[in-house]
Amino acid sequence: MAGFGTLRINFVGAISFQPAHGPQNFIAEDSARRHDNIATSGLRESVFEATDILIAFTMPGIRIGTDYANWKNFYAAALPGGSFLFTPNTQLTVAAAPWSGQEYFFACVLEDTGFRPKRTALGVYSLECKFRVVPDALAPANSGMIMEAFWGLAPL
Amino acid sequence: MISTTSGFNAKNAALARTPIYVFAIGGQATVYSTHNLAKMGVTGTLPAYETWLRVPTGATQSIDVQGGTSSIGEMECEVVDYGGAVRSLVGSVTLEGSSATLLVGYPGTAYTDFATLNVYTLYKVIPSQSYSSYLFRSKDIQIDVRQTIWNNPLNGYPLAADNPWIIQGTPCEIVQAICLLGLAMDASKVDSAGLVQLDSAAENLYGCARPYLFQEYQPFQAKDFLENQIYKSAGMYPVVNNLGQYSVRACRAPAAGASAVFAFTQNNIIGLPTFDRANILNDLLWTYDADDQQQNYASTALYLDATSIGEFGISNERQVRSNGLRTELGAQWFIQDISGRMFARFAGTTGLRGGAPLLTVNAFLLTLPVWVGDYVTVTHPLMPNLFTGGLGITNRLFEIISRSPDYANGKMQYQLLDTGLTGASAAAQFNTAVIDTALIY
Repeated sequence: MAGFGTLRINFVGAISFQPAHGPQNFIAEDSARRHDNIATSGLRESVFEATDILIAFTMPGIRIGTDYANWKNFYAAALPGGSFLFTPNTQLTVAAAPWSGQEYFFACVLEDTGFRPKRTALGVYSLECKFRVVPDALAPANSGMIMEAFWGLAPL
Repeated sequence: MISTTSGFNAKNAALARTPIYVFAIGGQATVYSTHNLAKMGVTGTLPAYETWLRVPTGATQSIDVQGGTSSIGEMECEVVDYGGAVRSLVGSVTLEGSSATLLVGYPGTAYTDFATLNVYTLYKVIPSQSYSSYLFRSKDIQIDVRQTIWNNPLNGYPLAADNPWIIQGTPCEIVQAICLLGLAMDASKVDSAGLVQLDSAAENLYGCARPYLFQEYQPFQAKDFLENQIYKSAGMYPVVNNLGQYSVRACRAPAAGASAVFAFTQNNIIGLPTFDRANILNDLLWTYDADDQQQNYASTALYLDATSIGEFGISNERQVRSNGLRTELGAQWFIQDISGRMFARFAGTTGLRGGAPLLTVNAFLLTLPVWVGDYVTVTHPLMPNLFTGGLGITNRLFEIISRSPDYANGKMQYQLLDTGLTGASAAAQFNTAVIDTALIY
C-alpha cells in the first residue's frame, strides 16, 4: 500500500516521488544507543548515549526513464555521505519556524552504502531505502513525529 | 576519589542517565563534545563547542605497589572530521604538546559541574583509518617525568663529577626537587599539598626520616630515578590524579586510618569479582651507602620475615639498591621500618593466609569518581570470605591499584588490593619500634 503523501528529497535538485510509485512500508524508528549494566543484585544501570532516528521504506515501482534517473542521481549525490533535506509529505505544512508555513522537512543522510535496485517487471525496479536523520536543529524529537508527518498529521 | 560537585553527584547517582563527554585541547577555544550542550540543558557559560566527539574508551592507570611503579596512562579521543574542519585545524596548528582534558557531565547541570577525568599531554594526532575522524592520543604527566635530567638545575651546567647535583631530604622533598627543579615542571603539575601532607608530623611517616643524600654527577632519567631510588626504597608509588598532577601514595594508610571513599556492593558490582593473590614478599635485600662514583656500596642488609618464610618458603628476593640511602642519615632505621611495613602488607602473615588478595571488579559507570590509590570497601553476599570460610564479605577494606574505564561501553573495571587493613587501628597507635609483627603498616 502506498503512503499518503508525496515524498520530496532535496539534494542537487528537488525530486518529488509520486504515491503511485511508492513508498511502501514506510517506517521511522528510534534506535537507542544504550549500554546496560546488571549488578549482582539485579539492579540495572543504563548509560545512554543517544537515540538514532532511522527511516526505511520501499519504492516498489521505479520505471526506467526519468523516475529511475532521479533515483540514480539521488544516490550518486547521497552515497558519499552528504546530507539532504527530506520531506515525508509535501502536503503537510508547519507554521513554526524554520518551516514558517512551508513544507515540513529535515536533514537526513543515506544509511545505505549502495544503489541496489531489484527487478520486479520489465523495465520496473524496486528499491529499499534507509535514511538516518541528522541530529541538528531541524531534527524531529522522535520517530513518531516522522510517522505522523508521513500520514499528514501535524508532527507533535 | 576525584573532586565532584553536588550537582554532578546528584545526576551521577541516577541509574539511568546520559553522560556527556567534553574534550578540550589546550590553546583551542573550541571544545568537542559528545552531545549538544545547549540542547541537553547544560547551563552556565558554555565554551564554543562542536558535537563531533565520539565517546572515548578512557585511560587506564595501574600501579605496582611492591615495585613502586605506575603505568603511564594513555588516552585516545576520536573527533569526527565534520566538513574537514579538524583536518584544517590539524594542518594549521601544532597541537602535539598541548594539554588534552576530558570532562564528563550530565544533562541539566551547570557546565561548572562537569568533572575533570583526565588532563594529559597530546603526543600524537593522526587521522583514523578511514580519514573520517582524527585520533588525539595523549599521555599522562609521567611522559614528562620520563625525561632525562642533563644539567645541574642549581647552576644550569651539565652534571659532571665536579658539578654534581646534591639532593637531600625526605622522599617527598626529593620528588618535588626532581619535578620542580630537575624537570622544571610547572608547579601546578605537582600535587605539592599531597606530598607535604605525607611529610607532616601527624603522619609520622617520612617527615622524621631524611635518610637520602644523592650526588648526581651524570645525566639520569627522572622516572627511573624516582621509582628505583626513592619509591621502591620508601614503599611508595606514583599516582597521576585526575587534574593531571603528579603525586605519590605511601605504603601505609593515613595515620588516622584508612578512610573508605566509596562502597562497592552487589548493587554496583557487575557479576562476581574474580580473585587473585599478590606475590608473597618476605625477604628484602638492601644495598646502600654508595661511594662517590655510585659503583661500590658499603652496606648490605637482608631483612626476612621468618614467620612468612616458615609458612610459604622464601619469596623471590627483592633487591633494593638506593644510591642515596646513607647510614649516617639514619638509613638503617629507615630500611628496617620500610621492611616491616612491606612485610606487614605482603608477607601473608597478617591473617591473609597468603599473598594479599587481589580482586578484579567490573562495576557501574557511576563509580567513575573512584581513583587509583583510594581506599574503598567491598560488601558482597556471594563472595567467599577467604579468612573465615564463610560466604559473603562485609565492609572489607581494599586499595584501588588499577582503574580501567570503558566509557564507550558505559562501565568500569578496577583491581583492588587487600592488605589486611580492615579493622586496623589508626597508624599513630602502632609501635614502629617493634619489627616483624603484624602491627606495622
